Amino acid sequence: MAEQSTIMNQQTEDYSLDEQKKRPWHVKLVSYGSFILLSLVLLIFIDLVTGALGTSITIGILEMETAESESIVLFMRVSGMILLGLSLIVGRFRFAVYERRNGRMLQDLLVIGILLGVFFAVNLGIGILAVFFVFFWDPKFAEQWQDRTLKIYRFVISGSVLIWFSLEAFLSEGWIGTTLLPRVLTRSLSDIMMGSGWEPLTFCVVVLIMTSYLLLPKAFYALWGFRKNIESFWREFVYEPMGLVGLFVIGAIVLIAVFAPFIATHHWGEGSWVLEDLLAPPSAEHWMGTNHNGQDIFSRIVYGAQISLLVGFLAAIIAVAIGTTVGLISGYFGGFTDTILMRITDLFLSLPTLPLMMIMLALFGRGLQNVIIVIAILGWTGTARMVRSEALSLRERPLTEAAHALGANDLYILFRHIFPNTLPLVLANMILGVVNAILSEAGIAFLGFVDIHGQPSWGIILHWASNNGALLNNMWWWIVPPGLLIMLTALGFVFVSHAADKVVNPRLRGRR
Amino acid sequence: MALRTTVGTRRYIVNRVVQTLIIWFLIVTLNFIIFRIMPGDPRASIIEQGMPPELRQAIVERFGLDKTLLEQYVLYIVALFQGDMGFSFSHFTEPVWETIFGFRFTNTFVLMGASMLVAIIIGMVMGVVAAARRGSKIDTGSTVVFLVAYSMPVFWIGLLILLYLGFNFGLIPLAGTITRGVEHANFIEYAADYLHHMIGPWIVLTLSFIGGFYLIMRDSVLDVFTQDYILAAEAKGLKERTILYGHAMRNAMLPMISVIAVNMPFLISGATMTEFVFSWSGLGLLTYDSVLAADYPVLQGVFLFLATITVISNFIADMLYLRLDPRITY
Repeated sequence: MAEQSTIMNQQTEDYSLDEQKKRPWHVKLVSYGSFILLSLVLLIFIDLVTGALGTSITIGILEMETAESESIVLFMRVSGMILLGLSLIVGRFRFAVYERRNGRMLQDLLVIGILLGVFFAVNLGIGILAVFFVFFWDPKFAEQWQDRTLKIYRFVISGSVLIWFSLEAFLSEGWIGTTLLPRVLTRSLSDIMMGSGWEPLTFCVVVLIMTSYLLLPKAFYALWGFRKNIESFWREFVYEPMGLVGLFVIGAIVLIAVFAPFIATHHWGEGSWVLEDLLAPPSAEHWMGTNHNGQDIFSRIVYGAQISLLVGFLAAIIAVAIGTTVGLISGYFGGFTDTILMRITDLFLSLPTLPLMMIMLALFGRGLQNVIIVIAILGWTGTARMVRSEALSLRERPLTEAAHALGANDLYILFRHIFPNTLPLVLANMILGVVNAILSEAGIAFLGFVDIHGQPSWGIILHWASNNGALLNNMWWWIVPPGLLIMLTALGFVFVSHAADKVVNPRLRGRR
Repeated sequence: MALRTTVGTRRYIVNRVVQTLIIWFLIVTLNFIIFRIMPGDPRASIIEQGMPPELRQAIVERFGLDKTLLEQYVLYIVALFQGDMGFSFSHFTEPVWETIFGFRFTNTFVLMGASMLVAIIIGMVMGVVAAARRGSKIDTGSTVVFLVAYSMPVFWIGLLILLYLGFNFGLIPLAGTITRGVEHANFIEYAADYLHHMIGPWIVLTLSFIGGFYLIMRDSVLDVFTQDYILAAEAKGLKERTILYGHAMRNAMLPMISVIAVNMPFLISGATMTEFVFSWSGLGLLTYDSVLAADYPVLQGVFLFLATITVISNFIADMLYLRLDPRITY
């Protein structure tokens, strides 16, 4: 066995040396395909964020009619796309913005937009703290100060805001029950603006967020550069049969989800009240029988793939994003920040997951977005711990010191040097996070803590099955397929993660 | 092997104790806040439409719901240290302590203990064997099997086992912990009935735990195999069995301890699903019922209990590490 693996290794090396220039078709396919896929995901994500933001501002704050808000949101999306097109052209002709200043101004605009968003969505206190952390943590006027003075300055300002904020939280209505202080910092900007005639000002947030479209070409460029890593990863990955099987399974299920309307024989909600159509066994008309509402189970399962995958991917992405941010900040800055963040992580680690999910969903509503959020905020701790330990070790390496010596600031080092080096770890966590999210969603759906009357997920189908005597009547065609699909999806991701682990983690390949 | 009581070690232990206490206190506070910031009035679930106002007032005062939040918090902490977790809304105003620890805790404990024991033993042995024969048919085969077990939804295996073993073949009872309405002559008969009911949930829970344990064991044994002391042991000419079980397995067991402790919440989640499917009257089923009935005192109690278990097991894991691994000194 050992010999065989050595031979295989030899082959890989020869191969990569000789054929570096002319890549085989599958490497090309994976490299361009993944670039296009990632770019599309990014684009759709930004588009979704813009849409959600526009809707919440127009309906939530400006209290517009639905039709009016829809047209405004559409306008925002289209103008965003136009901005993207413009910046692509600008980037192509290498105008000064991208060439010399590296889009620095745009980046600042984006940060300002996000901070304003915090002011509007959360409250003034957190907003002021965030502004302080981003812009005044290491200010220009303090360049000559000593470390000690700087520390005192930071501590006094953030401390006084925090103390005032918590005093207000305690002493205004709701905590102790008496109003001793006027509520200023604990209110959000949109709260204050409501009914003052200044509401349209909220649109400046949108305008600033729109700059993210202008930054997209940069992101595409970064993704293009990322292609090389994917290629080298793929060259190793090809030799892991387990990973290929997993990839194949995931691909098949994604295809089912995308082309659900064409594959399904009926619509998922299309019921029937004819007695013969209820709880019918499999037939030529209904391949997996019908449920208690006369709905076609096969079609419901096909449509279920959409919900299960959506929840799985989104929850995993959010969870990993939270975990990576916390881990990076905690590991890189260390000290007091590290202690606080890690205690919070410990706290989240020791919360009982499923009971908390049930409680939160029962009380905050059972919509799809709540399911995603609940799974995400209970699932980021593992990533945070791993990324933290990786960042801790990266911080001590020469690359950080060199970057410091060249005059790079902390944020730059964090995002340009530390973060890219933790990427394999982050991606591995993401894959496992998808498994975790899909299984969690199936579980809470089965217990009935999601919106069980809307478009079904596989867990919801099983919920109805067990509530309508599928067991009693031995209707295995109602129970086996959805569970099998959940298992296959999870298995696909687990296989890929297992194989990827071998590729990324040389120690698992053993001594050679 | 005595615990090395160097100054550093002692300081580390004190640090861990303080940290554990802080986390626990945070959980206690969070447990209080979570049930207060939630939308909806907890009173709504016990006060009905036609109640006379005096009775309504009496109920509100009985549960202390008319006081301000700070007063409620102080009362809650004081009562907690007196071992008083309030009264259940839905279980005929039974004390929460009774609801949790009466018989439900025992049921959950027996079920989880039995499944975890078997899962850990099988998972560890198979993990060591597979890692020792890396790349062989045994390794690939068992890895695939355990990965499948890992990705099966817990409740679905439960449903399948109920369907086939329960309904089709009648081998296991369909629900509950004992047969209802049967007078058991003696303890042995009672125990036999109880165990008969436990077969289904036990198989399901074991299956759901086993995959994770196997994977971690295999990974950490593989890790150990790359260490120099294994090479040294081979060079000494030790028997393969001695190296495997004496050197590799002992060292690989350390990560297992902390993984089990950290994954406590997930293990408990699995138990909740299983208890629901088999109507096994334990803490998981209690949580489910309490969420549906908006029984806040019981939820608070269960929540606190589960979180406390996790915190304590994390602490014990760290201490065990210190005790078992002579290389660790602080």
